[in-house]
Amino acid sequence: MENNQEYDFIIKNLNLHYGDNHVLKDINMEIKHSRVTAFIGPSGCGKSTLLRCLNRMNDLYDICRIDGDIFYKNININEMNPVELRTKVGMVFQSPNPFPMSIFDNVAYGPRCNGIKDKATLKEIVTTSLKKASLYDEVKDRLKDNALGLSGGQQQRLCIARAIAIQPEVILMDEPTSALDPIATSKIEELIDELKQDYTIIIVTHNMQQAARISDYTAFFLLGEVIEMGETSELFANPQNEKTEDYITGRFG
Amino acid sequence: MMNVDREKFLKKRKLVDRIRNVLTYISAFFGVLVLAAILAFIFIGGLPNLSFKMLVSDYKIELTTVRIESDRKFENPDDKYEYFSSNFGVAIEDGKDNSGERIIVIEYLDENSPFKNSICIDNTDLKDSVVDIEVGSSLNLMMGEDEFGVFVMASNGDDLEDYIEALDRLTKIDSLQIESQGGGIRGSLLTTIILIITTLIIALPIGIGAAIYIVLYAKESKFKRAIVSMIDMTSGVPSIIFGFVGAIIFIPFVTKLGASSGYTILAGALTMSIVLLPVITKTTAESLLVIPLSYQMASLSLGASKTQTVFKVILPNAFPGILQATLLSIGRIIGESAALLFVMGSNISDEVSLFGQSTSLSLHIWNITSGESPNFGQAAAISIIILIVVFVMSTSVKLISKRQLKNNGG
Ligand SMILES: Nc1ncnc2c1ncn2[C@@H]1O[C@H](COP(=O)(O)OP(=O)(O)OP(=O)(O)O)[C@@H](O)[C@H]1O
Ligand SMILES: [Mg+2]
Repeated sequence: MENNQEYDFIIKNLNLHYGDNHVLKDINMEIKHSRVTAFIGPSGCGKSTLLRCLNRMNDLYDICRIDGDIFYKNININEMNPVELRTKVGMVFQSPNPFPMSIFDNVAYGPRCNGIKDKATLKEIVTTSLKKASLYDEVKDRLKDNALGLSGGQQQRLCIARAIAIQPEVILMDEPTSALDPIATSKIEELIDELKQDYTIIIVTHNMQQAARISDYTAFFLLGEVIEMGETSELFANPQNEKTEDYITGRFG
Repeated sequence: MMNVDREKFLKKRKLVDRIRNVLTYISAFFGVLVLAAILAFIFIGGLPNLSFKMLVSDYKIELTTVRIESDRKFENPDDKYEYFSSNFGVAIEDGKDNSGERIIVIEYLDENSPFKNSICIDNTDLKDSVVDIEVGSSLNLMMGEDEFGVFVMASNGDDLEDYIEALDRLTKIDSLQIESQGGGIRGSLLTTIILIITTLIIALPIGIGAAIYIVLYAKESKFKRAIVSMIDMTSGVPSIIFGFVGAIIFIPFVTKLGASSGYTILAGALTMSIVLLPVITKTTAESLLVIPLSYQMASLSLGASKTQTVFKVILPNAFPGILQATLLSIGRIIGESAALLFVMGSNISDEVSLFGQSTSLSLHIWNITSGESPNFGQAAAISIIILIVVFVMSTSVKLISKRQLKNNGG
């Protein structure tokens, strides 16, 4: 494997089947370190599926079969311990899914599972994570309250704080704003803008403007194939492929 | 044209609906009627016999035989007592023991009564010691000779009047049986409680473990489907079949463990565990299945191991389901009789131990109603206890699932 520090992920000839359903076809892709990469494409084209490959969440599905290789920082992820991989590659899901426990316990969950027991340390981690997710001021007085009592937007930011708390290197976000109103959405977009200083971010979105606003690179998917990938400004201003152009101009999809 | 058809159809539908409704009401009415009749029968028959004393006293009657001598006469204070013996200073009345049988009990004792100085004549350690006779003690067979040397005898089958008359002909009672009150269900109650605890200790971990394995670990395969359908099938098997299989397997097993006989609470608990395993596994599995996959995903994505996910996220959320399984199980154990008959038997015992033979409340009922003089009064009283427990259990199960629905819904 070429020793390349520039890329966090290198995906080679990836094919994925759910049973007989050929969902991802010959994916080749590099994800740049410390950049925001957006996945766009019509529903059902395999964006979430590819995202789940990156932290081996597809292991959960018995019927899933993966061929090809994914390298994380030049190590084949199949040779890594999945638990180890997931502490480096965090994930935020499409719909907010906090655990039915207190706000504090939600954020402390990851660190606790990874062996941090010291109360002061945990408190420190929870506070900084909530601050980074710009949720701290809203919840600092009720850290003991059940997280399910938060609004949808707050819950999603809590999930981001929870993902940050394990101090990952990459954060995968699957349509993190699809369940949120414009104000909550813009808050999360600001957040992503801040987070990209420290993390590599891969975000799935259906919102063209969002992709254009926040990402450095964009990959356009169609029926399980990557049609086009490039710098976001390039891809939106000057799409090379006709299908990409059709999609981003809203002519189909 | 169209409209006429439509009207016809509406009329017909109205009629059919009405017939259906009436049929539903009639069958519902009969169902409720039958249920009410059964409940009324049990409560009317059982309530008079239900007492705290019955719950805490022994089943077996303890007999002490004593001799008593009197050297003076006693006054009936204010002629208050109808059946009073002036020779012995004792008044008696009709009573009922715990199982509702008629007995003769001491109503009053003069403070100087020779009954307080009765000497035990049983061939036991107590021989020749003074026996404590008190108000409330019950009297049975009494024998002695009067001043003319005529043999006098009375027992608790006699009227109070005859008994007192016999008593007053004597100044020296050669032999009098004092009885402790029997007919209590303490032993069987305790047995049932131990049976429940032991069964749950055995069956819950296995059942929950099986459910976790099936839902969270087993890969989709023929083997898994076979196990799941086997659990479905076994939960419908009549318990009597488990009973005799349990007898074949567990009685020798328990004997091997060192019990003098295999008919033990332990054998009962093992058998009940087999009866309940499918129920516990199924209920727990169902509660595991409704836990959102997103919790599991979130936990794993945060670098938690599968085991951590199971114990920190999944099991706490499955707790209501596990509680339901537990309550259902308790109800089943209390109500079970067929399976237990094979492995515990229906001998009522006051000495209860895991490795000893005693019987559960249900089989206690069977025992006291299957003999020559069935005691339906006490059977109804025990039934009330069983019904209340079963009712409380099933109501809590419903309450829990209602609350769970609410929580999941909003
Ligand atoms: N767990 C699964 N089991 C079986 N098939 C699946 C599973 N997850 C996804 N699929 C299938 O894989 C295909 C791609 O799904 P995926 O969720 O990756 O699409 P997507 O691009 O994220 O769509 P959307 O934009 O609607 O979220 C779909 O045909 C879907 O039916
Ligand atoms: Mg998706």
